[in-house]
Amino acid sequence: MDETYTTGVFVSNEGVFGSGESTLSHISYNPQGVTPTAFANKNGYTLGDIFQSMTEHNGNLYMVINNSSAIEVADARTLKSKGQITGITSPRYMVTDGNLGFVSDWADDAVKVVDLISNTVTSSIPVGVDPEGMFVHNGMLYVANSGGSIYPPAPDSTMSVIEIATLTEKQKVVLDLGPHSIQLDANGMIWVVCSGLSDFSDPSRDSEGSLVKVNPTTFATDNFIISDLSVHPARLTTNGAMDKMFFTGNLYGGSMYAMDITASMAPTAPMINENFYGLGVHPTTSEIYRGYSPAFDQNGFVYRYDQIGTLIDSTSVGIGPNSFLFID
Amino acid sequence: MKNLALHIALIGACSFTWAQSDTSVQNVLDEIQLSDNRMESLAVGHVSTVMADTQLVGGQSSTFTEVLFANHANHIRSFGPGLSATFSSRGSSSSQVNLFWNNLPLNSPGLGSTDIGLLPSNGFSLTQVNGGGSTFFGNQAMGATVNVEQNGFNKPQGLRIGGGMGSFGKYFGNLTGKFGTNRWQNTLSVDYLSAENDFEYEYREATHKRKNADVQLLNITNQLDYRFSPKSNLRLAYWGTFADRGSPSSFVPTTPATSRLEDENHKVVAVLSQRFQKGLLSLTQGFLTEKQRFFNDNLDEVNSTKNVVTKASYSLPLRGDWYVFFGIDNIYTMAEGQSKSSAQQNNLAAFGSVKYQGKRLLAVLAARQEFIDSEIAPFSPSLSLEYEFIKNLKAVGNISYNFRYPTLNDLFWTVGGNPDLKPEQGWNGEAGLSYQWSWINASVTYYKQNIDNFIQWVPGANGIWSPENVKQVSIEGVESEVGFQHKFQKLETQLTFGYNYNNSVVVTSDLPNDASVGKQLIYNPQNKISSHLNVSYKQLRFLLSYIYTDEVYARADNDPLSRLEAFGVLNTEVSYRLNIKKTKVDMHVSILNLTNQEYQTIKNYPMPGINFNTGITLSI
Repeated sequence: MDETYTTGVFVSNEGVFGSGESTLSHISYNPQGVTPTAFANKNGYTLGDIFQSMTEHNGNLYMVINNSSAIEVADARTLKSKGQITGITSPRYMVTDGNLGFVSDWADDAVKVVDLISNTVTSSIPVGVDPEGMFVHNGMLYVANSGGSIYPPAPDSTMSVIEIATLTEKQKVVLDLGPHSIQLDANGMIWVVCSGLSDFSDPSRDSEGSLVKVNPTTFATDNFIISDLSVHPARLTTNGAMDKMFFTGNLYGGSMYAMDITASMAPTAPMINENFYGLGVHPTTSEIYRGYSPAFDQNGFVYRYDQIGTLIDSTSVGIGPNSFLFID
Repeated sequence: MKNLALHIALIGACSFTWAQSDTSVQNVLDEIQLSDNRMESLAVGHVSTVMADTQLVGGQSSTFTEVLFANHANHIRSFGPGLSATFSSRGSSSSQVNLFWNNLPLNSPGLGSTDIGLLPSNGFSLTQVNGGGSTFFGNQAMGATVNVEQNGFNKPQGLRIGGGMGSFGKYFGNLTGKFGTNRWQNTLSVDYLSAENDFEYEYREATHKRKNADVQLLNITNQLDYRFSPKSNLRLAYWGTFADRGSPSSFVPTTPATSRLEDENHKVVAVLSQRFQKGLLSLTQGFLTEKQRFFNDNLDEVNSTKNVVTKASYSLPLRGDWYVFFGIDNIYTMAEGQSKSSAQQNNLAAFGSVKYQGKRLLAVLAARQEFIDSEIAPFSPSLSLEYEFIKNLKAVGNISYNFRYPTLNDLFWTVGGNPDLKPEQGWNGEAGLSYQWSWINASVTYYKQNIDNFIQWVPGANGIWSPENVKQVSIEGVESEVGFQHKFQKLETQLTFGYNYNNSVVVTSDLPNDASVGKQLIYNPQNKISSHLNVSYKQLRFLLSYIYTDEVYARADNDPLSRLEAFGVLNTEVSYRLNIKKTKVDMHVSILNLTNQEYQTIKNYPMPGINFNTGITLSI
């Protein structure tokens, strides 16, 4: 298996909880083809338990394996394993800056700092409750403190702002309940999707979700409330032009919504009314990628839509496809 | 299949070598029979097997997991020795089989299945009737019904103390005492098992030690039988189970393994049997409590259920060769836990049957109706026939309609439970031949079952998962068994050989693009073989068993990545009995997984390689 992956998209597939069967799929669109178990094909073993997210940096692919408390490091083109980063209890997302990696550690209410030369954790920065998505911009690390958007809640509604040079928290910006993920727009504004509170056992306690636009200099906020209480937005992403924000109606699925960065209100109707377990937007083609999991005992699918939401095709991948990494 | 052929050849070789010797080990059942005829009625027209701990390698130090695994109709899913395990039979799921002890159901009302890892094999025998059994046993009896009985002593007073140790930090001990008069008898049994299970396994070309797979298991039973008169018996019985077990992660070594399970179960039952001039009345009143705590650094969850079981039945001989047997059952269940809003359910049932026992023909026509709260469960009729063509050769067959009501978790799980679920249900039929002669017995059965409204958890709007009735399943297969017994002076040999072919496929599905259609149900091997050899010469006994399980898939779409490879496990035991005056001293050494086969019964949960047990038992 000397395959190298220079075009197409990687898909992270969670696998069944507890099974240790996460997979990395690769889809090629020109020519069309899929390698459902690309990492396992190269290395002879599956990735571990619950592949949560991934990022590429300096030719390496970092795969965050949540329930295995590990980050698998592989060559981003050949997928040959380069080892693991361990010592993070519940890793969720990873972002990078130079030779540093930052991993949100859900269980530890901290961001773990990783030296990407030695692949070891060098320090831990305490943040808010249950940190999730992060973003690096202008020497600052932004961290969404989700507070656990599901019941029982330990409510948090802040975003930590960390100065990378000193690795210290400079600010906790108050947003709305349940910040989940962060993006930057074309105007240099930081966008955070806040899920609100969803209490499965007593839906009457649910609170509204929102999108919050934050000025990274003044920390002034613009809150766009989503009044539909059945929508708890998550998985914020943007297109290549960074002029549109896309999100799913629920962390565990839900329809897909889109909002123009100049809009004055949050969207009230979904752009694509299908169940999205994963969401991605191609940076150059603006095609929309949907991960769909029909059940956790069989493979999921990636549905590709054009930028106005017309279905192009579908491809079978692994169980629980939840995120995408576009290679070209 | 090539692999299978090799395994058959191996078994053939075993059979040939040992067929020259010979015998039988029959478990001794309690002298006071309190059965209310249900199992006996169900057994008509079905294949049934009895398995006791004494017939099993390492039987004194294992759990029901190993006993049920030894039956070729069953498939086992186990997280490791002594850890949580479930079984299924003839292609069913673990909530489509039923276990009973003194008329009390052992299945957890929440999960729908029995954790067979919690039950000690020592001192018990299991009678299993394969196929549909809803007419007599109601809800869940689709794949098999198992009745659990405590083995007694064949004398009024006795004391047995045993203990031993094994690989991977295993220690076990048991004590059984029986005392009484000809009017009453009391049997007390205490059984303890502890194991570290820190065996080694391979992952990523490195050797790792299994973590957090330890077991501490204590079972206490007490059974008091009181004879009011030759026509009237009362049994008061108690069974307590206390367990503290690790909940290991899959074999990925970086996954933290800190979760633990604590179980505490109590069962109390009174069974009154009263013989009248015409007929036998049996009354059962039982209480069961089940409490399970699952906890780790981030979570601490307790789920508990309470059951009140009331049963009454009457068997009445009519004129000539006709008999009737009828009764009512009521099971009241209360469940509480963080994951369920507190749930209650009442299950009331009435059944009746007519039996004809002629010279050659045995026939049972029966029907049952259950009412679950205000819902009417599927009507469950059955017809079972046995006909003896010539002496020792009979044809058996039955047809029945069976059902499984959704579990309390399916109905009330927070969040996603679906109170509108329909029961899984369908027809089940089988036909077979059985031959029994002095030194040989053989049987072959073809079975077929359809299950409608098969329940599966699927994602709904807003990402919330809910169980839905989405599939239709078709099951068919062939079961065969052959046994030989031979006695030559002091040399006794018994050899049994069982084979099950099973094809369980999803026929249709309401899910869009469902890749499971046409595929074998998860964790159901197409082929399973079990063979057991038991040779004794004077005080020396030798046991050998070989059990082959075909490949299974852990995923409904039978993706190759989810395949668990076929495996064969070879176990052996040598035991010797020393008679010192009136005391019998039994010593044994067993070697399990003799060929050091690597295998899993749950995907990515390794099972141990070759391991040893040794023990000693004193009987007075």
